[in-house]
This record gives sequence, structure tokens and C-alpha cells, in this order.
Amino acid sequence: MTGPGPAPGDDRVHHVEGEPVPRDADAIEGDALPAPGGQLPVVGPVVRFLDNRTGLVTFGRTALEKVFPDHWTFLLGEIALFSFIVLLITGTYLTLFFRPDGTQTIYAGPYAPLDGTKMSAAFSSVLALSFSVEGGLLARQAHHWAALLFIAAIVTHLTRIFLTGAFRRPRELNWIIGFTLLLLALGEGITGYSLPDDLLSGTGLRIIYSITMAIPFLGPWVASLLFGGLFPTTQIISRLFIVHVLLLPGVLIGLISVHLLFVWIQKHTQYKVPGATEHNVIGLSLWPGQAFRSIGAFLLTAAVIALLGGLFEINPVWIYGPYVPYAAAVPAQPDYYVGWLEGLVRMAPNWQLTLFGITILPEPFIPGLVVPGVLFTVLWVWPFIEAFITGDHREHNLLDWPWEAPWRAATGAAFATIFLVLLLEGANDVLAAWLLIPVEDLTQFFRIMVFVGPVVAWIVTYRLARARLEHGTKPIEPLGGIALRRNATGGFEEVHDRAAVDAALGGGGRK
Amino acid sequence: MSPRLQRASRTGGRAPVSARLARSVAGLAVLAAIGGVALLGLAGSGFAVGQSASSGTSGASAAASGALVQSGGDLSAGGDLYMQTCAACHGVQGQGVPGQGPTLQGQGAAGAAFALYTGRMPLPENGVPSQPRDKPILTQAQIQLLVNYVAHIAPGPTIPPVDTSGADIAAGRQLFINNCAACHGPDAAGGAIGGPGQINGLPGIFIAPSLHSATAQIIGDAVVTGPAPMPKFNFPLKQIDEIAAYIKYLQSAPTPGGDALGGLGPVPEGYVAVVIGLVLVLLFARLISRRPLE
Repeated sequence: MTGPGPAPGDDRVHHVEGEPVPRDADAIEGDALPAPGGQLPVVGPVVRFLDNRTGLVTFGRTALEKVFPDHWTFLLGEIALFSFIVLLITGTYLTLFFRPDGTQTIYAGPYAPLDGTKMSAAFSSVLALSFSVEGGLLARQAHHWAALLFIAAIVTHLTRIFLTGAFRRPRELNWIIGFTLLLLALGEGITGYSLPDDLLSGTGLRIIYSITMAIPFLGPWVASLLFGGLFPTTQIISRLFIVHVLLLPGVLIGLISVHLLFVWIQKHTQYKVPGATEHNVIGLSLWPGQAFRSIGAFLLTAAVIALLGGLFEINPVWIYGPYVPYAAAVPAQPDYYVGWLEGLVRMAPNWQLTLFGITILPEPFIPGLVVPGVLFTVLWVWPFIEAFITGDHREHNLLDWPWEAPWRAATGAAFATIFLVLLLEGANDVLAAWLLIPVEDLTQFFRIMVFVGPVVAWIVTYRLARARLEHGTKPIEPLGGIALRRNATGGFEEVHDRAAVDAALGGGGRK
Repeated sequence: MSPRLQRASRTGGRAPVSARLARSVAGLAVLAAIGGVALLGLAGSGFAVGQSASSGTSGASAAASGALVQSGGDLSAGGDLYMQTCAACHGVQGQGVPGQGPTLQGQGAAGAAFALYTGRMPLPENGVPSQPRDKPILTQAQIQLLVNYVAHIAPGPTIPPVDTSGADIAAGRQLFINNCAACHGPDAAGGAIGGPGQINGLPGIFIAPSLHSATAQIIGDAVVTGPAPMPKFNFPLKQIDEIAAYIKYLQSAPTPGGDALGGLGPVPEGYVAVVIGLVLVLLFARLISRRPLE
């Protein structure tokens, strides 16, 4: 299509927000006028009652006509939200059976290899959840897979925002809220991973304890305060539990609401499609367009999580057994979203600074807290860093294509490369056993790559983006040769009407 | 920019569905072809060693009683075989050859049985001792001759008569987690181990192998001899039985949660979450959205 707006015959209902929308003026004034559902005996009076007191109808009409730009990448944030809803549903079921209790008990349940083994009540309840509670194992696994998908969706969403420059004025604050949501989600992941009190999660907690201990001067006090004494403590599970099921979800829900409110108030960004300007929004109205698409996205997200939960075993805690401080097992990794932090700690040399017999910078303070802090802070305040560098403080409602800001795309690729190399280093023993390369050699390689990789990624991405920006894409060339048509007598004749040929070949060429 | 880049960006655009489908089909066809060749290769090699392999595995249990070792095999026949197969690297008296192979002193019948029944010895051409266990190279009768002969020239641990029937699996689990899982993994799926990676100046061992195909007897032999970097454990026979029983349990343990993803923990889990989970939802997102207005 050529002109702005939908072409005649397009079955989609397109709305252009920012231009006057024709509406029935009578319907939003007065209280005696028919409200939605006014024909029905009960709904009508109820809606009228609420409308009289809250202005529901006015708001409802605005809401239902809210315009959502039409692109699949705009569903990424919704997928994260829907994963979170699945997490709330499955998590609620799990809390009915999980006991956040660190006291030691003797196991007497259906899993024979642990019969008579000493373990915390928390671990015992996870075994019961897995083997005795109806649907418990499915709920546990779906919860865990949903967590992995939740963070993957958030990271993909943030990547899209970053590459298209959607964080620019006026949406800097919403980027910061969104990035904070990622941090909260990581917190949820780490605390949830630690709750079962199995050998693997206990190993993770010991690393967290050690990193906390490494805070200069304050470490031992902070660690003791958080864990309730010297590791391992019986209190830590109940503390993590309340953080995992009350504090973090509460803050998450609050911030998600603010996040969506910002999208509502500031309106959605849109790609540079024909008709789109800085002052309008083109897309589907919430009703009846976007609502169905969102419901579909929710159901499909839930279906994928259920599929993973039913088909793939995740965190079989009975194999690890209860946590005992004197045992460890390999491979011991955190979930992937903390894998890059694991990689940092694994690859960092064990340097520490000691002056006059006092350790000023204990190891692993730098790789455990300083480097992640710097990386995340840069990304967290990125909108302001970019505005400072470019000097561009104008409002932007139209998105860049990723190649339209080559240095931004290149910087994003460099960051992604750093995290990817660190993530691989976090799995260095698994990779070593798989590739039959000594684990030390692999670590040396990643130590080099974590510096070289981002530079190479920056240059390559920058050059590709520049090439795309300066030369664009070429239209697909028309077919060469001649076209033949079989005629009624069985012979062939040449067709000279190019358009007819294209149509016969399935509408070849571009719109 | 160069014409190459222009071409790349052109094909990087949206290709017609038929073209994409054709590319996928072509890719699958190539994969299938590679897979077919690989399968043929496997079948061929399987045919070549099939005879010795099948007799070898059954031999492991025959050696379990240790009766054959105690009765004393044919030492001169064993000696001949040793000179042909082993002496070049391990020396005629089992004293080792610098730069070629380690001493066998202290290995005894258990050490020889472990190396020979797991196919680690004799070394395949260009092989390294770190190679994961394979089918035995020699026949069971040949191995028996060599085990007896090595026990004679390099005395060491006798083959423990491992018997897993009736052993306490829960006790075995505790022993396994405390002593074995740090290298072999909680699921006995194996893992990488650090270290110099050199044994006797030879390419070294940096993998604790998977125990998923180990027999109870092999496990017992390994525990009492401590092959290569593995420590030697002085467990009473009852505890060896329990450890072997738990490893045998793990080998056939049910996985109620679905596919165990190799028993390797969060790394394959994260891989599946992204490569299957995230990719699926992204595909769905693309499917339920239409193209942007053009």
C-alpha cells in the first residue's frame, strides 16, 4: 500500500491516535444514557451505578479505544508479564506445600535412596512436593521453567528497547523502571533457586555468603546480619522465603503497574511505518483487536511453559540430596541468568590487596560485586549516558531501526558479547568435558575473549550497520528471460504483460 | 561498502516463504546425509569389534568372583601376550618406560582388569588414556591371561568380589555424594577435573568419566586401585557394594520429571529454556502478529 492509513479492503481495524476519533458524543455524557451492556437486566443498572460514581464508561471507552502499535517485537514485554502471571499461579500452589523451615529432620518418604537421611524440613517438603503432592512436580518444574523464560523474555524485551532507542526522552524513567524489574527478577530467581536447600542450592548460597564476606571491612558483619550467623544457618531458608514470596513479588507487582502506567500515559512508541508520525499512534485498538492478540500470547506462553514443565526434568533435587557443608558436586552452576556472574568469579585471578597486614580488597570482592555493579550501572542509566554523548535531548516517539544508530547497536553488541563470554566461562567445566579441552585452557581463552570479544563485536556490528544505513537494501530484481504460456491448441506463446506474469507467479516482487 | 555486503543485506531481508522452506529442507537433507554416513561408519566399526566386545562384557561378571584369578591361569601364555601387547610401553617387568607408559607396580589384578575391561588398554592408535570408556579391545580369555600375569609381576589389589544384591542404596548414596560426586557428578554423568593434565609426560586426563555404563565390577576395581588422578579408596567391601549399588540405581533410575537433559544441571536447562522455550514464544509472537504496515 502506498498512502498513509489502511487501504480500503484491509480487514484490520486501524486507529490513529492523536487525531480526532469519531465517537457518539451522547454516549459519554449524562447518566441516563445507555451504557455498555445496557440492554441486559442486571449489567445495565450495575454499570450505570458504577458510572455515576466513578465515570467508568468514559474511562472504559478510552481504554477500549487505546491504540496498540502492530509489531511482534511489541509482544516481548507482554510475554514477560504473562510468564510472571504463570509464576504467581504456580508459586501460589507451591507455597501451600513448601515448608520454609531449616530445622533438621530424618526423611521417611517414598524416595528410597534418601531413606533415613538427615535433612532440613524445607528439603523434605520439596521431596514431598515432587513425589507425593498431586501435580506437585509439574507445578515445581513449570514454576522453574517459567522463571527461566521470564528473565529471557525481559532480557529480549530490554534488548529490543535498547536497539530501537525506545528509552530516549520522554521514556528514560520507564527504562530505569524496566531495568530495575530485571534486577528484581534476578533477585527472585536467586532466592527461589536457594529455597529447596539441596546440595546445589546450598553451594550457591555459600558462594553468595563468601562474596558478601568479601565486602571490605564490613563483610563479616553484613554476612552475619543477612544469614543470621556463620554459614550454614538454619534461619536463612525462612528469610529467603519471605523475600521470595512477599517482598520481591510485592515490589515487582507495584513496579510493573507503574511501568504499564507509564506506557499508557506516554503512549507506545512505533516503528517508522507509513503514516506514523511523532504525534500519532497507528495500530489496533485494545478492543476488539489487541485484546485477543494478548490473550493469545498469554495462552501460548502458558502452553510453552507447561510443555517444558511436562517434558524436561529441571532441578531434580532428589539426585543432589540435602545440603551438607562438607560435600560438593560438579557440575555446579547457577541458573543461566546468574551464569555470567559465576563466570566472572571463575575467571578472575585471586588477587587481593593487603596493606600493613590488613586486607583492603578481599577476593572475590572485585569480580563478585564491583564489576557486575559497574556493568549494570552503565546499562541502568544508559538513556542519560546516550543523551549526554549525542546531545540529543528531543522527544522521540518514532523508533530507530537498529542500524540507524550504528554506534548504539555496536555498543549493545559489545555488552552482549561480554555477558555471553562470561556466561560460557560460568559453564567452563561442562564445556571442557564436552569439547575434551582442559578446563584451565578454556578459562585462559575466555580471559582473553572477555576483552577482545567486545571490541571485535563493536567493530563488526558498527560496520554492518553503517553498510545497511548507507546503501540500504536493493529491491528484488525482476525475473529475467521470457515467459511462455500454453495456448488452447497445445502450442506455446510468449507473454509480454509483465504484471500478469508476476501475478501468475504468486504476486512476485514487493508491495 | 563492498558488493559482498550489499548482497548479504539483500538476502538478509524477508525471503519468500517458499524460499525459506526450501532452504530448511535443503539443510535437513544435508543433516540427514551426514547422519546417514555417520551411522554407516558406526555400523561398520561395530561389525569389526562386535565379536570381542560381546564376549568381553560378559567376561566382566565372570571375573567378579575372582575365582579365575585365584586358580592361577596360564602364566606363560599370559607372559607371551603381555610381551606382545603391553611391554613396549609398560616395560618387560611392568616397571614402566619413561615417556612411553607408567609403571604397573601396585596395580595388581584389579588395576589390570579395570584398564582392560573398560577398553582403555591396550591403547588404540593415537589414543590417549583419558578417552572415555569403550568396549574392551581384547577378548575375555586374553584379558584373563593378562590380569593373572600382571598380578604376578606387579602385585597389588585383588579384584574385589562386588555384589550389589541387597546392598543399602541409601548408605551408598551418602558415600557416593561424599566421595565420588565432587568429580563424577551427583548423577554420575561425569565432569571436568582440573590439574596438570599430564601423566608420565603423556597427554593427560582431565575428565572424570560418566559412570552410566560402568558395571558393578568395574566400579569396584576403580575404587580399590584409583586409576590415574582418582584417589585410591580403602573402603570395606560392604561399602564398595553400597556405592556400586547406588551407581547401578542411578543408571536405571526413573526420571519422573521428563527428559533428564544428561543429568548435567543448570547448563543444559538454561540451554533448553532459551533454545526451545524462548524461541517458541518468539515464533508464536511473530505468528500472531501481522506484518507491520508497509
